[in-house]
Amino acid sequence: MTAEAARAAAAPLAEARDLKLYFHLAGGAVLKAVDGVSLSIAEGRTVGLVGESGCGKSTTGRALVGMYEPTAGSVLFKGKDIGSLDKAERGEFARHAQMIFQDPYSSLNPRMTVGDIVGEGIDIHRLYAGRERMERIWELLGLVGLAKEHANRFPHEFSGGQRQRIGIARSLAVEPRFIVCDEPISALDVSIQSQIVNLLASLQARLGLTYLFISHDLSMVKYISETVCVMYLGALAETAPSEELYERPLHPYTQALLSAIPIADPRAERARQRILLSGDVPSPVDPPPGCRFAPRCPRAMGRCREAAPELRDVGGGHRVACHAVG
Amino acid sequence: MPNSEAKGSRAGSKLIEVEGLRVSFSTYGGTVKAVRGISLSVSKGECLAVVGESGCGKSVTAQTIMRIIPSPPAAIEGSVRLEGRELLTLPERKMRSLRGSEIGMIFQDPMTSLDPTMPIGKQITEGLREHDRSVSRAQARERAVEVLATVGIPEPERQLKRYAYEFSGGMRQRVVIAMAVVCKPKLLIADEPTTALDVTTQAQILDLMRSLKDELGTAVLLITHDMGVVSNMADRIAVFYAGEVVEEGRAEEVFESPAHPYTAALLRSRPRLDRDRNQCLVSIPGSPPDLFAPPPGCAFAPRCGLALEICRRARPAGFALGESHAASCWLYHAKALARHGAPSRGKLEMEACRDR
Repeated sequence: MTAEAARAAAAPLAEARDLKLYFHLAGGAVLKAVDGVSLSIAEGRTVGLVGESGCGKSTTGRALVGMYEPTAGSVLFKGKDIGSLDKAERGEFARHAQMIFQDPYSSLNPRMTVGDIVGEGIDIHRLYAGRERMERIWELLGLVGLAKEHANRFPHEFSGGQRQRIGIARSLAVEPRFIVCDEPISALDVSIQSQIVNLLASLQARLGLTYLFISHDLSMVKYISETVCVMYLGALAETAPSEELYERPLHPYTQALLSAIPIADPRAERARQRILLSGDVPSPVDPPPGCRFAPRCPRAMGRCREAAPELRDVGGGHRVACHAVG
Repeated sequence: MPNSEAKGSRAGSKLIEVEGLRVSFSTYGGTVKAVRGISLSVSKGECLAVVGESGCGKSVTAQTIMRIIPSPPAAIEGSVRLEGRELLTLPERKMRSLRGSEIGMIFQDPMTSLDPTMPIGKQITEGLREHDRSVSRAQARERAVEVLATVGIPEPERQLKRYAYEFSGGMRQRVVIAMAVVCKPKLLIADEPTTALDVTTQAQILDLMRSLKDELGTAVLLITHDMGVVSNMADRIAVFYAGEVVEEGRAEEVFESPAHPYTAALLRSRPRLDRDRNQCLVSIPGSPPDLFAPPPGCAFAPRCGLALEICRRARPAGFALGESHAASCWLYHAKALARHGAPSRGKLEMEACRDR
């Protein structure tokens, strides 16, 4: 009850309201990458956004830091529509909302030293100069577990995990409040993944950061997020507090997704009932009418093929978009 | 042998045996010692999972078994025997007829293992007729339809004329599996077969591979970095680190009582979906060693909180922990055991990662 009250009291830092992002393809086709997504992230919290490739999770994340102009709907930061910000506010938003990318190889400029990569944001936003700037860069490198000496080196001299640390230092350089982590660990080896996740968690505790953690890795999302949103083909299927979603998934897609993940324990694995979905995710260019999951859904009824279900609250912050859920 | 229920324990049933395999590559920067003395075996009808991170030598080992690594430039030593026949010295002509017919292979990315310019039906029948000239075109076509149906491709007759690009990722991987099993090989090598796929598709493909293994009795050498995939498929596990096998055993043994600090830490470095959020996630500090200049002792020692002085100086031998379970770690040497006792699992997990 108190947790409930606390959650209600914390106003969202970042928010998407009925966000739509359409891309016009050659030949007049329209790719509906994001089609009516609403989600909000409270200050200091982590929201996980999961889904399979092409479901629109990265596009949603990018829109939240202002990298895309929404086709319809809006993105709010600290309660203000980012489309209506003046120049100074826009600059502040650009500083407060940062991003960490999936590929630690292509997301760092190979011609720049690590110091300049980390310092670029500091220069653009004129936060520090001269000696102070360099000291700030060293501090940031220390914060992510790298050494001062690394500032003079180039990205190619680092391993994948170290490069991801550089990417994190770069995003922290401008003292952000909100960071969209877009698959920050999926390009890394297993033994390195937990280093980065533990680093992100400790940075959050120290700096009070707010994260949108985008991943297809449900186990990791459960571990790091307080709230999880499950996306399917451009729309939210279900959203709930992390433990609740994993213990009591209601949407047939969430249930299938959870049951598809192999558990690293042969006995538990053998004892499991698996829901095998048939077919593949349809194309977002011409998504099926009604519920997007209906063609693959074991519980689909006539209504599912006609009207898209709304996201409905079923209590305790658990919301699900499914006609079959009573 | 008192307990012969473990299929692998009878020497006669070994299908493939790799012994003392070493593979190195000469580059401008020096010699990379990718595989540094690996021995493993797969018995008939068994699935051996090779687990390890990138650069641990798991794919190079598989490719050496298939002899698809050009040598030179690769320097290969050791022995690979298929039902007693040495493969490393087999003339290329004989090796060619063996590839596909006796050993099939599935790669990570289905798009690179399919020919984009040829209909998939032709790609399947081509292999079939290459290996057996007596098969007529019609028979080959019939067999292709049959195998496509086996791997779960709907309306197989209609798909024969289609090209790889017309299929989704999961369907492409099914076609690749169809090509690999069309000649009913004795051994199927699957190198990260589901890594490029989404989880729901991965579940479909793993399900398919398990049923093929059971129905056709094919032995599987599964290469993966994903412990979840391993627990789903494997009878036995070999954990690779820096070009060596650090632990080997039956799947239950390795998962329930991992002996090597690396295995223990690896198992705890991923959160488990069936546990609550408060589980501790273990970080292994540092990164794997540079195989241009591998350390003289145990390759994991620089990252291991339990390392003894000896670990940095000399490579440990494999110490038997049971009939089928062994670990290459000095902690299991009789003298170390006498002094410290066997390290508990909790100690292995936490201490191995102490210096964060």
